[in-house]
Amino acid sequence: MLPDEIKPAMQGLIPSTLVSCSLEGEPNTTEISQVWYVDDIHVALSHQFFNKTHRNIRANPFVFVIIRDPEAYQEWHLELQYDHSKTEGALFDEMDMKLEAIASMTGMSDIFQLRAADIYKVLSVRQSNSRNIA
Amino acid sequence: MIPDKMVEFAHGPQLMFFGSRNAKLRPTATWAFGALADGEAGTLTVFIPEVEGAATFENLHDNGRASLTLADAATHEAYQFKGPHQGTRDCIDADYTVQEIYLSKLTAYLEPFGYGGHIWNGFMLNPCKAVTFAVEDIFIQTPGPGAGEKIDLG
Repeated sequence: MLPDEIKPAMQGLIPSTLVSCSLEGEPNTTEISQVWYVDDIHVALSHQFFNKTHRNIRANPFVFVIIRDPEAYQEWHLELQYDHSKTEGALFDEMDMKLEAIASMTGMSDIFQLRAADIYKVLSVRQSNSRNIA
Repeated sequence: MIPDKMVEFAHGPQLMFFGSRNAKLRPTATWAFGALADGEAGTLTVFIPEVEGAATFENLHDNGRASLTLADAATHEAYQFKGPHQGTRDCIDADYTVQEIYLSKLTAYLEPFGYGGHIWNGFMLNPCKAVTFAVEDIFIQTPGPGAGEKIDLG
């Protein structure tokens, strides 16, 4: 489902936008540091904080994410469903290392901490029409 | 009531992401370009391009639940505004003027970081709708110890 062209948008160079929703129906919009390519039907999102987004996702697993290619600035829209979390292993270690690099670049070394790699199933993916790209 | 500091922030060169959800609690997001905050009335109006706005407009018509994240891309200072939808209308010339001013500020502010006109000039902003919601809550989203705290709206 995920095309190869989407991979540059998963480098974490530009924060991604994530919207979750509580069971009471309140949407919650936030930025996240990493959307990581796992395979052609799964991505991993960095879980860094025990916050409203975290609580929403445990209650309602459906989220919407916008990711951005840092070169062409092409945007992609993904509908995702939370599946499970990993707190150790190769994927977690890779994401942890990348998050440390992102934190260092953005002056957030004391704040960003990877608690888990949250694995999501990709329900849909498409390129955004927001920008007029030749 | 929206505190002056938040009105000022909303009128600055911030990145703006508007969130909503449908009847099945499936969320969606879209860009907003420019905001008009009325501190006394406690309302915020943002401009959402129609090109990617259809799901958002449908959601607001369905249930009226709105969330908006405003983020300073340089400092990471960020806030989330939440509240019920009050109305959506087609943008008029005055709205597009506000949008142009916003884009000029955003471009000048982010140009030194490599995110200048080559990015922002590529967005299709017209036609656009003005979406107004009542600001009932504002939450700190700046990464750090205060993240998630609610701001006192007085």
